[in-house]
Amino acid sequence: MNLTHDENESARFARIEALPATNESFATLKAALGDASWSVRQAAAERLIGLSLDVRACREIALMLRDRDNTGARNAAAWVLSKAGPHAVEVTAPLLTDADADLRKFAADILGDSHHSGAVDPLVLALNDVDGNVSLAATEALGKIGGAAAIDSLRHRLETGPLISRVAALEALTSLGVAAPLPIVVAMANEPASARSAYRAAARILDFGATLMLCRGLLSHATRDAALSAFGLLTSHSRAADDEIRTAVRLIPDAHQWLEKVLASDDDERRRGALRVVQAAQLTRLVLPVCRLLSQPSLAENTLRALIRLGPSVATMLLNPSRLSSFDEDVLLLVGEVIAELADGTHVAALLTFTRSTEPNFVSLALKALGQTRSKEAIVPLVEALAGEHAAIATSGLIAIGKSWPEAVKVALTPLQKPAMAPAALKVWATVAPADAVTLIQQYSQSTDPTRRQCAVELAHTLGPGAFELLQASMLDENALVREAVCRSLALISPDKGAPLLLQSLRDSSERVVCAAIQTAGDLRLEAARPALLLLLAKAEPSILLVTLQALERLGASNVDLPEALFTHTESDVVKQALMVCATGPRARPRLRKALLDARWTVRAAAARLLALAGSPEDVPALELALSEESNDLAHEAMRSSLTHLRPFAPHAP
Amino acid sequence: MPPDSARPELWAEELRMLRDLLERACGFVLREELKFLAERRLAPRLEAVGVRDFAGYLRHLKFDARGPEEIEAALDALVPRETYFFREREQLDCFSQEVLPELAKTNASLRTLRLWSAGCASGEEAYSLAMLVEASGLFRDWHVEIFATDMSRKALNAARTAEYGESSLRSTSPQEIAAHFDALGGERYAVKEKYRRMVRWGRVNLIEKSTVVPTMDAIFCRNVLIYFERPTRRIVVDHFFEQLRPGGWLFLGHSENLLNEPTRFLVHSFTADLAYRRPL
Repeated sequence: MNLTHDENESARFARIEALPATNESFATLKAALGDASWSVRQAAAERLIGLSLDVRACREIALMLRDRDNTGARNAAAWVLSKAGPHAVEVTAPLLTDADADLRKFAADILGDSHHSGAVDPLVLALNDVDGNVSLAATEALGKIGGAAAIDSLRHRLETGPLISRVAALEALTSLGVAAPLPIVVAMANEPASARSAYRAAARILDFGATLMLCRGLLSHATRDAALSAFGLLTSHSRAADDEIRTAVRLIPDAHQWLEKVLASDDDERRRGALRVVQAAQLTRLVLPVCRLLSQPSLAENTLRALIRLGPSVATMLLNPSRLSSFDEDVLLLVGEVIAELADGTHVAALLTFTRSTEPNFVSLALKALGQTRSKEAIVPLVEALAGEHAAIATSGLIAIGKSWPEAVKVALTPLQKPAMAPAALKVWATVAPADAVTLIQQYSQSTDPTRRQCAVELAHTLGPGAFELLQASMLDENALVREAVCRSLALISPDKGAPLLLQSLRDSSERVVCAAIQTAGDLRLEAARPALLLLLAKAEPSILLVTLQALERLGASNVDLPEALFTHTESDVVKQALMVCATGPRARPRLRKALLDARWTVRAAAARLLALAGSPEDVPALELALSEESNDLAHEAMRSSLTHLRPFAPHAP
Repeated sequence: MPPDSARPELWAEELRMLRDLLERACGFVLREELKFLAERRLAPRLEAVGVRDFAGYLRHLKFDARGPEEIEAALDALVPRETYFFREREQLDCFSQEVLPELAKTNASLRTLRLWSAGCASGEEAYSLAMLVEASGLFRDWHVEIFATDMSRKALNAARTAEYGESSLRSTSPQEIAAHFDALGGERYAVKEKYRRMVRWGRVNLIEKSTVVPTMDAIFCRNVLIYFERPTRRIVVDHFFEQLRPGGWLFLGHSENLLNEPTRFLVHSFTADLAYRRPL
């Protein structure tokens, strides 16, 4: 099929989209890389990347890089090569020695974008290219790929050559998260052309001297923004560093206004730095502009930590109805976490006003924080909330406070005993006054309401000797939720007593009861359950297979011959769990090596991780082969890490 | 004290598996940068379904009979639905001053106007469109239908309730509030009944081609495509193309565009903004 230029762009685009994903489409797609329309070129490039190109195909595409008259085609070909994997790297690397300097630079860019470790050696050689642009492109490319050889070369590059190449090497190391030597960084910070890069690099150096250098950077108008960005990269926290930052901020005229402007900007690097400075210098006046950053996914974690480090006065400032209403629901969730983390006895009065709010989000936020205060004054409002939609939050809060004030909690709950205490209240009661709760739990076990019978079973362990009888009787309950609760509660009483009930539950008609029984049998390491568990492996339901395999793993089943079908099951979780159960068994390693080639990346990653634990140097070639063909980044990382683990012991290790 | 010492952690592989599940369900991509927020927003869900960690939560999503229901709950917790009335006002001004007068002319014989707020969240955009159409005065006694759809039943419920607080009104002037809302007290406002009657709500998964949504004059899908990967974006934009009448308009958010997407839409520049148009 040929694309003709008398067709309109939409028609050409539609024809590319309609091509089958087979090698027969290659010639048409390659030709379409030179199309006049960007959309058509882009569509063709995407389809080509999906074809898994071989060396011959990559070579044909690489020829297009020489077509200087068609920039669109060159760029599209470069993009395809950067995404086409090891074959494309094999074809592109020799171009680094081409006579055409422009092509050499292009090749370095492509290899950098491939992120492929096989490109490192040729790129290291290209660092010495006579053409400065090629050498810089090679430096940047190494900064994208990383690895020991790349880092060594970049470090060496820092010490020699013109400033521009040293800056490029420093930037490349910083982007890899690698620290450069402090004296070199300090020297480069003194040169205007390299100051910004030097400050960024200083943030990677775990040395107090680097922090001092950044603080000095804050004091100069010319380097202030660069230093602030660098503070955002600083990973260490120390009191001494905070003191230095605080001192520096005091010396900056209009520091508050400057930082407020930064926090409201779109520059994530500087905003991250501003968060670090606000926290270190305890600039609580900036709490509201800081809170607004909680809506930014890239900054939310830093923001939350900065707010918590600012201390309890932040909670005081935030506990204001109009302030809280100005936040979106997503931000409010995190603001609530800050308040709950910081709230103490001094905030109880303010929190109480929020428990009466008409806004449900405010009520749950206030109840959570009241529980965290561990304050006696928080007991009554939490008890009142036990009957409402926030009962679960109130229950956790009261159980927490009950550890410090059991009598006070008991007194507050006493009026709720009649006519009938709600399940949430009974759960609290059973923790602060277990002896007094016995009668109520027994009444609950006779209730017509299954949720109350379930609650009685969940609290049975507080009954002492009467617990087993209640659980045994409840095993016959017609409601599956109650029987499921029995299986879970059996974990809290003597395994010897519970075993017969659990074995019986493994044959229950309800899948959820069976699953709960299997899990408890595993948790209790119940050896008597092993034969029944092995029989369950013949079941078809993946949920049952999965929990059964987990229970067997806990029982220690590496010598058990699991049905072979489990290792090729359609559910990847089942395969992974089966591999885990047998990870140390006699047939484990051949199975794991086979699983490295499974079609599902999660299985390949799991097999790689298990080989790190159970493998030997003999497994290295299989891992290396799998690694060379791996397209998923997480599986790739798992294989790489396993190789690192196994190689030192390999006889042929370098 | 570390703030999250007892919080279950979402490991990289679990995040990826959760992402795959959610993407298959509705196209939403849980990006790695959302890990921190995902851990927090899903923590109550772990508690609700009674699991201790994210591995257990994933098993629940995949294997429990209530898994599909829980995927919806997870999406409710994770998909950002931040929106407000008259968001990206410059674009709405262009719609109001340049598109609506044109639609009043081209649709004059049928006297029908159909707009779609795709991914309407809690409804602020759909009601804003109703307010603009009404304020234009060009469509009196016309059959005006504003379709507002979302994947989230929770969001649709909030939209139907039509009561909003300060955060939703951050870009609405006091005069507009007085004109379009009834005060409920406690800084909450209800959308006036005449606008509520103009909007029809429904649950639509944008990655599936809808056979129920009729042909539209304009589609607003703002700040939705940013949560999709390119192949999904392309599918959704294709659906929009088919759903618009020739000459119909597609409005995207300011942070998203089709400039890097192969598409059949034409770019149309207004005085102060741009939109995409299905060729006539």
